[in-house]
Amino acid sequence: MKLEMGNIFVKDVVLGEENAFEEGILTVNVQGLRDHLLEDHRIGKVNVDLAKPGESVRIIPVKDVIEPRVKVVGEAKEFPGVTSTMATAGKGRSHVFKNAAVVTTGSIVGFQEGVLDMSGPGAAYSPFSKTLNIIVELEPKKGITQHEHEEAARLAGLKAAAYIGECARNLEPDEIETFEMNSNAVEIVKYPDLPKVVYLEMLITQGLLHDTYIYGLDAKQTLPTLLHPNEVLDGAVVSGNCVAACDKITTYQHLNNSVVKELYKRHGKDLVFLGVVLTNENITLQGKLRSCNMATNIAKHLGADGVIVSEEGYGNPDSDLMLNCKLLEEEGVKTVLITDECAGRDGMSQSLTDASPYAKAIISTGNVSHLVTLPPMEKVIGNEKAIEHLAGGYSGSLLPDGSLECELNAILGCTSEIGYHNVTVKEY
Amino acid sequence: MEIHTNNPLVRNTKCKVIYYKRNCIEFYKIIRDQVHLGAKLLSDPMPASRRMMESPFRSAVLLKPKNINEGVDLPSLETIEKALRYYERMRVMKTPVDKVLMEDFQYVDEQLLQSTLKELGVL
Repeated sequence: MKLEMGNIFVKDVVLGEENAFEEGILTVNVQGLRDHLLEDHRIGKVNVDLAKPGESVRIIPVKDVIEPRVKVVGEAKEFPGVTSTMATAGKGRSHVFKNAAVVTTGSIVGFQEGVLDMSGPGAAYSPFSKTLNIIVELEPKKGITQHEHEEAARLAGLKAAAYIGECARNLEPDEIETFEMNSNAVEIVKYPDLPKVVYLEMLITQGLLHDTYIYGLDAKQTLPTLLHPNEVLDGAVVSGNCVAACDKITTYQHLNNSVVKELYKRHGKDLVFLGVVLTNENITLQGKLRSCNMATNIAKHLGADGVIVSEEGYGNPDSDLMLNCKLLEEEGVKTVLITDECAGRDGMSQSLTDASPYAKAIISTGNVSHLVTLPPMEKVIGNEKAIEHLAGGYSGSLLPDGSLECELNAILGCTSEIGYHNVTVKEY
Repeated sequence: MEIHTNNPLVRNTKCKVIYYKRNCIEFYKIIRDQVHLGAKLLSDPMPASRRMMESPFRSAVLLKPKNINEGVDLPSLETIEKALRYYERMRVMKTPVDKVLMEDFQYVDEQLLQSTLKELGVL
């Protein structure tokens, strides 16, 4: 499978009357975008705004972040099975507006989602403070349920990214990244002496506000499944997760999955990348056992010598993480886990809700309980008071001078468990 | 199969529901007692996100033993003990208690339970 990613680097974004791209400046047709999204009868009002790196702007609460892109060669379009007809992603060519992002905002329930500061200390924590953000603020029509609201907001973000991305169709990319990998049978023969590695990506899949979609299918209704890495990078996985802002995997992060990209880089050099196994995080204990056993069997059947497992969220998914590790290690497969920690504000508490003697190699993506103070911003898009209801915020988080005191929990994408984030770890 | 809950919104679920007007810790301890009496946990009563962990509402699906001599299901015991231990840690956070937030907590807990029941083939 071969995928060409035509990257077009955006230097600035402006709002205007038609979509255009000239000399690095992306113009967004505000009315056109608004009309496009209002075709969904569940959406009552759409506001479009901008937030750029370095500006004194706070966005709160954020639902999802999506990279604008368009499929220019290939049967699949953007987000197949969701905003377009089902076809296999990962083939042909996609054009991508790099440095730009669609950010959706709007409260579905009182406590969901995160804060994104475009400057100040909060900006350092979120990778999305460095993107030129097109903010899509959504208000639902009265009377729709939270399920309908979540779905409408999820689809609106994807549709906005595709609408803006369409403008890249006939552009000449600044660079072309090629992702090409043959079947495992061919690749293993090419590199017989290299260790074979599978990436097991755990997706949050528990119900309202806690879901992920694979080709449009609610992943809690799936069994662990094998994808070519290109499919992940080309829109097969979409976020429906509206909780735990720090470690939710936004759609943008799925599209730029750091583990997939790193394994790709090392494929044929010091390992053979056998593919991505997507698995779910069930609520039922039988479901956990089923998915962990099946994911292990797939990795084993593929001939993996090693597996990298990444988690999404924490709490009961920590049990899936440890069970995956135990089952893989018992099969003789070396296993590395990637997770964040909820280790208390002093970092001294037990980090995860579960543990296993098999978990001997863990990469931490940061302590979500770490307390930070974010100074006031001149402009707030959304509802500043929402911080008190966000994961990581609490009553009294909003200080009299407009500063926010909160845990990293509240900051969008700051402890991403697939590694697309800014926080690092130091050994003392 | 029984649903045990301290969430008033779950009381009308079309299954056998046992409602406790108790706080989360007391509720977890009741579930632990049930497990010691031989019940099996079919769902994990620990949420998957920080905010829901701070929610005072929980629901659990239990399978009661047909025979009192079946013994304690150790995975169930381990699961409820973990949930209890972790919640005790989380209580240090000052969670806001306004009415709308409480209604949202109840609603999401009820919706997550619906997902669980669908997965179990009940709904």
